Amino acid sequence: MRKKSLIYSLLFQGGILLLLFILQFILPTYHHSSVSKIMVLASYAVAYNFLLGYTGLMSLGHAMFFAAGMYAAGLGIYYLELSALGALLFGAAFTLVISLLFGLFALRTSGVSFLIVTLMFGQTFYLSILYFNEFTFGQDGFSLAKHLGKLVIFNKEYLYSNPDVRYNFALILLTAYLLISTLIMFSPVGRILIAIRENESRTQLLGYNVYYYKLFALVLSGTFSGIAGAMHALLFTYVGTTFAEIHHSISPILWTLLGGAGTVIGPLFGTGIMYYLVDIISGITSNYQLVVGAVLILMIIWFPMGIMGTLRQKWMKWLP
Amino acid sequence: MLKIDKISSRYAQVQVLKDVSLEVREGEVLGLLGRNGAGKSTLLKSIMGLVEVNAGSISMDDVILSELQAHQIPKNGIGYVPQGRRLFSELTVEENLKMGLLVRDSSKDVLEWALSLFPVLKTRMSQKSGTLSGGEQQMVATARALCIQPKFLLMDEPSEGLMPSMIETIFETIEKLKNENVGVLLVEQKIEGTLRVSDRIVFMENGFMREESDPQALAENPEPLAKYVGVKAHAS
Repeated sequence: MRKKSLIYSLLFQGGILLLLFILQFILPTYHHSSVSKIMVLASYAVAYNFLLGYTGLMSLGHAMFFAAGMYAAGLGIYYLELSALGALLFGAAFTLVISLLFGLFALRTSGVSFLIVTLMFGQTFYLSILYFNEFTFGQDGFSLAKHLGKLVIFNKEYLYSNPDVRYNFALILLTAYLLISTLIMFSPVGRILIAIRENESRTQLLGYNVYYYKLFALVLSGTFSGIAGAMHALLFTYVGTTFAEIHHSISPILWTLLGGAGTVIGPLFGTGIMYYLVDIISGITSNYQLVVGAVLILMIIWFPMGIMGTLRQKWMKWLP
Repeated sequence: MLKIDKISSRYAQVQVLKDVSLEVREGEVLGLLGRNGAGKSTLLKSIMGLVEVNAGSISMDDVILSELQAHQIPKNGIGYVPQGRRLFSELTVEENLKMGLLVRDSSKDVLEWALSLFPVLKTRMSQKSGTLSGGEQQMVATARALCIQPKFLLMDEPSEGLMPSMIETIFETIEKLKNENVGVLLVEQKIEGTLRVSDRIVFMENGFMREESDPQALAENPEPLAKYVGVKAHAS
């Protein structure tokens, strides 16, 4: 049964990724760029889903991880003249350390206290970027366009911000995240994370050290968020405090809940729908948040477990 | 041997267990009887490290369980079937059982053994446990606890809310476990079944261990049953 579910889900996800691959040849420039952005942000949401969807821990400070990866990569390129790959690895390593340290402190708390601690860490990180503005360029942020090297493929040079490079790198990132998510969810560790989400004390009673598993989920989620942030810096050649603000912590919660918390593919749908919802409605009215809010309420009524969560409950039982 | 030596336990500032001592041997069923609030479930939770033990000690062979963290206790061979089953409803039967197997890296033979006690579960392996009947959920909870290969199994009212035929299955399983040399500490409200499967009976009242007896003695003199459980019927 599990093997069958794994095959079905890989086929389903493979189909969606293939569709995304083909779309790049069809989409007009604007949507081409939008879908690239959606894929990077969806990767961030997939990473967030490890924590919220599978382990049941809600963080209000995840922008810290995304921004940590983004700033580590960006500042690494700016000051240390790192290559793109070096910057990506630097961003990943920096976020790994940050999320490990953060987890060691924050996981001493639970429930609402955990939520507040994550919020405070997130805000502290954001304010630190502003405070050290001589080094981080504060609220203005900075562009990497003149500092980032070029990608060489078959002796031909490309900018990382080249639309095709951007699109395909974003697709590779998303593919890797979906594959890793699926494999983890079908592994014993995935089952233990779900068990913790369902009931932490029950899992502990069975003989599992839930603290270590929660730490694993948090470090994985944080590091993957950081890699998504670093990739965003490389592909969009800009680093700024917007990505460390509180709304960038709330966004992945909405994307995940809308798409289906605890489903591997849900965050992709949630991110895509939210992105275009905001994009379209903000083109019609400046009060777009009111309309987006109303639409979200309706969607939650129709899909109480998120879009993919509801589909899984009714039809797609095999969906991880 | 599972040895509880003069333990006192409390929830926050409320002292629930007072100076309780008892022993359970391997291959023995010890029935724990008493009215609601007597401290029976608290005793099981104290053994499992869920309730703070503020005096005395709990040990199994050479291991002092009361000095361990809750998650380390099952790894030492203590299985627990909590009241109300407490399955992971989003996981399938198979996944629930494998959660038990993983704790001590038990082999598939252990799973087969656990399933041999509840053959009906073999047909339910891919079903989400939250969709099972109460009796089937109880079987999964018991089988999951057995998947950690326990030397001692703590069972908290396993017959609660089950239909008579299912209750009989549970008691039959307890008897089989005895033959497999698993020690069982059984908290139950079904007196007759408890007396049938138990080797010894301990009565608790207001957090104290009041009296120890055995089913034969209680058959001849059921007075403790009336006194501590409020049951007047003779043991069969």
